[in-house]
This record gives sequence, structure tokens and C-alpha cells, in this order.
Amino acid sequence: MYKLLKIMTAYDIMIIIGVILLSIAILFLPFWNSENADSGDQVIYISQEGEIVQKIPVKETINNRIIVEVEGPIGTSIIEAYNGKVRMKEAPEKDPEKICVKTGWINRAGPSIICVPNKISIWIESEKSDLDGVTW
Amino acid sequence: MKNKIAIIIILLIITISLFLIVQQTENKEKLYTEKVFIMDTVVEIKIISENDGNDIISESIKIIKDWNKRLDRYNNNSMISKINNYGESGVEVSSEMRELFFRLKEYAKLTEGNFDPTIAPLIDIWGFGEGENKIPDKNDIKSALQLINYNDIKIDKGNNKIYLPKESKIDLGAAAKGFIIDKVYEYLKENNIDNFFINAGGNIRVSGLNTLKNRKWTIGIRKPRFNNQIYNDYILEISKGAIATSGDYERYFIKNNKRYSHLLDPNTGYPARELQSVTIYSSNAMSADILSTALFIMGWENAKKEIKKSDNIAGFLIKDGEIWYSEDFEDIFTKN
Repeated sequence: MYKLLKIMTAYDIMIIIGVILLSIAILFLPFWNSENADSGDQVIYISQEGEIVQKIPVKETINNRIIVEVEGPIGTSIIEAYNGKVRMKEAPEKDPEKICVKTGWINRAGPSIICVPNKISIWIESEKSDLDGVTW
Repeated sequence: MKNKIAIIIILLIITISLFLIVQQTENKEKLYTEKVFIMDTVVEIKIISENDGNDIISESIKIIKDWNKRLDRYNNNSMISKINNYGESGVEVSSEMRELFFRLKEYAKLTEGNFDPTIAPLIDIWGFGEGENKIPDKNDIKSALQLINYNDIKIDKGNNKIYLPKESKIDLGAAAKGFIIDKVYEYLKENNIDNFFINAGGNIRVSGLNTLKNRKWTIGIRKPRFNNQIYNDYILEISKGAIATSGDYERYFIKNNKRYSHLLDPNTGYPARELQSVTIYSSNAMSADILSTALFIMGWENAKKEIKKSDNIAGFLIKDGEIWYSEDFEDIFTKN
């Protein structure tokens, strides 16, 4: 090893270190990438009869009230998103229990707001969330 | 000089081979997922696969839709409707359906009728099926209770026929989701998918790992009376088995400040109200689904007793904010 060092110039050592650093960088590149993909922002999803009817990035709701009207089999449901939270503001008159309105605000991935009679569901998705699901 | 070039070439070869190794071991796996609204709830399937998983997902959704069509008693063309309407003279069913009825009766027996698939008349008078919720008349409850008896379901093994007395009606609200999840589980396994997560309105069955996150599948438990909160100290982490919760917040109405939930006690005819939620961990989704309901109805002391007695299930109970869980449930909490 000593002999080897002797025949190398500072320039050679720099190249070697450079190559080593490069290889380390390449090694970690895939991991860095996937972590980057994980930290995506939260998105509010609104679906009707299984179709996504609206996607709202949570950051768009900061200091900005967004009202979405969704038509379903029993009428119009009114959804409100504000400051990172979303709720079913109004259910149609014909909805007997209005459980979705009673659910109140949700502000993170996991829970969902479900309106059975109008077949609407609302949830927040986040790549950051470390939960795959919630039992309820 | 030649030596130097040789060293650089060797280093380059090392770098390239390291890169190739990483490329090979790097996950080619991708997450395929879909959420759909079926069975009055959101169904979510996540599969991790190296090959394109979109067809597998579509087929899984189709399995759910097909079985739901067969088991939905509010659909006049369903098999359950046929049994409910024409069961007196016997309805011929597939062997899978016969097997389902056989298991339903077994669970009804095991839970001493606290789960009873013939509960439909009681659900109807409370308006938890279709129509408006109301507190029924005492006499109506009495006559509905007389119709509830799982022993009235007769299975003729010889000709695959199911018999049901005229007034009796089947409702699979406490079992169908679990049963259907298990059907999807079997389909995914047959297609060599090993890492997946199926969630039908909080009834969950998993297999393997969430390999994209290098961990098991993680599940939160909803906190009753706190809208959309979970117990942050009790996050579950599983690589097999099924989780289901029965809670009095799923379907309910409030009259004179009193909560009436859809979890009706087939013994009294009224909603069971001692517990707020029961979460069960079991080997398959159908048993978790049925047992969470049956144990909710049994109440705090009896549910604890049953969970402790059983080697096959672990349980987590909530009563007025108080938490109780079995020793084996502790094994599935995240260890952070």
C-alpha cells in the first residue's frame, strides 16, 4: 500500500476520492429519490360513485376557503375546504341523518367523510403519512 | 503512468459494478392502488408488484362488485333476496354460497346468537336498512325478535339448497364485507401477489409487507366520540391477518339525547350501548368482521372473557373512554 501511495500524485488521489464519492452518491441516489417522492404535499380527494370528481392540494386552502358542490342521487352536497381542513358543509335535504355533516372537519390522512345516500366520499392523502389505513 | 491508469480503470469497474448491483437490488416494485365506493363504503386495495398491477386491481374490484351483488339484500336480484323471498320452498345456491351459509351458522353458534344472520326484521323496524330511523314500538320489537333464529336456516347438502321460513330474513351487514375481503385475498394470493392491503370501510386484511416503506402495514384505531381522531399510542403493525372494528359511531341516530346505534342486540331488540367500540385481530376478515359485532353486543365483561378465552383472536375494547386490550394484542402495536 505504501508503495502504491508513493507512485501516486496528489492529482491521482483526488481522482480516486472523486470516483469513490461518485460511487457513494450513485449508491444512495435511488434512496434519495424515493424519499423525495414521499414528501409530496397533502391532497384532498372528493369522489362521487367511485369517480374522483375533485382534487384540492391542501396548500391551496391556506387562508382560502374553497367550496365545492357535488351532485349525487339525492341532490347537491356542499363541501368546504379551509386552512388544511375539509368538511361536508351541507347535505341535501333528503339525507335523513346527515352523518357526513356530523362527522365535522378532517385535517389529515386516514379518516374519511362518507355520505352514503349521495355516494360521496372525501379524504386526504399524503405520502408523508405513515399509516396505511384506519379501522373504524 | 500505466499503473495509474490501471488503478483508475479498476476503480471505475468497481463503481460500475456497485451501480449495477444497486440497480438490480433496487425495488422494481411499484404500488398499485385504487379506491372505489362499494358496499356503502370506501374500499381501497393496495398491491405491491413488480409487474403491472392494474389488471389485478380491476379484477379485485370486479370480485367485490360481483359478490356484493349476490349478498346485498336491498338488491332484488341478489341471491340473498331470493333466499329471503323464496326460501320457504328452498333456493338452489352455488357451493361457495352454501359454504358461506355453513360458516354463518357456525359463527352464530360460536357467538351464542349474538351474531345472527336472521336479524334483518329487527334492522328494518329500526330503519337501519332503508327508510328513516325510528324507535320502534315495543310490540314490533317483540314480533321481530321472534323471527330471529339462525337455526331456522336449513342447508340441504344433497342438492345445495338453502331453506328459510317465510317471514324470516337474512342480513349480512356484519359478515359480508369480511367475507368479500377474504375472496379478494384468495384471488391476490392465487395470482402470486404477496404484499397487499385490502380495506373495506375499516375492515382490513393484509399480506406481507409494505416493501416500499420497508415495514409492515400500519393501521390506526379510530377514537370514539372524537371525530376523525385515532389513538396515536396504539398504532398497529401487521404482516398477516385481519382487523375489524365495530363502533356505535358508524350508523346511529340521536333521539332525546340518547344515541341509538345500528349494533342491535338480537336478545333484547335494542342497540347494545355498553361499549363504544370493539376492534378484533383475527386470521381472516370474515371472522374479524363477525366477532367485532358479536363482542360489541356481548358487552365489556363478556367480551373480555371471550377474547381471553380464545387463542384465535386478540381484542381492543373501548368503554366510556377506558381502554382494555388482550395480551396478544400488544404484540401488534408498533414498537417505536
